[in-house]
Amino acid sequence: MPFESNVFINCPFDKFYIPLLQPMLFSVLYFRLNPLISETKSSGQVRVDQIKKHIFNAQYSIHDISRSEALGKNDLPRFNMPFEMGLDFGCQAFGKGKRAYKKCLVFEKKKYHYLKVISDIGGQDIENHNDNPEELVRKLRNWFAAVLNNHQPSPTLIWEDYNKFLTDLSERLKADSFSENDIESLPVSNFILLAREWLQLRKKVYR
Amino acid sequence: MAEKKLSRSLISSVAETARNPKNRLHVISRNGRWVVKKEGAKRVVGIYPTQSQAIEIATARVKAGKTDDAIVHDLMGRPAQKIV
Repeated sequence: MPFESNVFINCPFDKFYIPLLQPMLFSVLYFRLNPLISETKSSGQVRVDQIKKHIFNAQYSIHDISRSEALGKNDLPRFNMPFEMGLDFGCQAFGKGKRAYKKCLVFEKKKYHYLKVISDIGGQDIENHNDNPEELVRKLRNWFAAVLNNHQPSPTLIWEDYNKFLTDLSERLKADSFSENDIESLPVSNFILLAREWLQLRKKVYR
Repeated sequence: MAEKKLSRSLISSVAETARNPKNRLHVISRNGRWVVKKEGAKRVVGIYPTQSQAIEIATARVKAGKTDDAIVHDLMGRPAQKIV
């Protein structure tokens, strides 16, 4: 996919984040863009190399730093997301040509939390999602409508289509012997493939 | 779950569901309220302050035979309950 269509997604991939990750991927596909994620395909592959490649190849980025804090008393904060965000900012700051015009959206959980932990990112496009997927879809849609400078379907339509897609997906996968657990832990690449195909037909019918 | 390669037929069957709207209602969250909406329709059946009120309306419509079934979604968008 061309540089102008690629969106680097920098977020957690654990089961607690899936309710936010899936609508994020669905929305990016809805805008006819191509999500790039750092799924390591073999143990020999150094993850950060793949991330650097994605950053280099993407015009847009979404960084979710909402999990960069300890979730529980005995947990430690996770710094992968801020680190990868820094790499992306560096690519934009020192990059030449089209890379100097990269655009990124930073998500946090609560508004202005970043001021307490990483205030140097002030001035970037920062939004909060409150761990609410509907809100995340709205903020994503509004940001992409602005940076792509074109009309996008309403956040409500995207959210409703996402709800319908999850129903269709669940019913079809269950009919193909997938368990609830299989569906919940569907690999991200599978989700992207199925959502992309579904949206292609969805748009042919309704647009 | 290990990466599972999906068959072409499964991918197509999921995609095909987008083509044909069912005679089905969805109960979906919207800005802190709940809407009941028929699949493929542009307008909602109604907007309600609580999920239970929306479920009541959807259930009545299913029982009256106005729709085949209704899917109740949770706040994450996932199908949580099917009313038949």
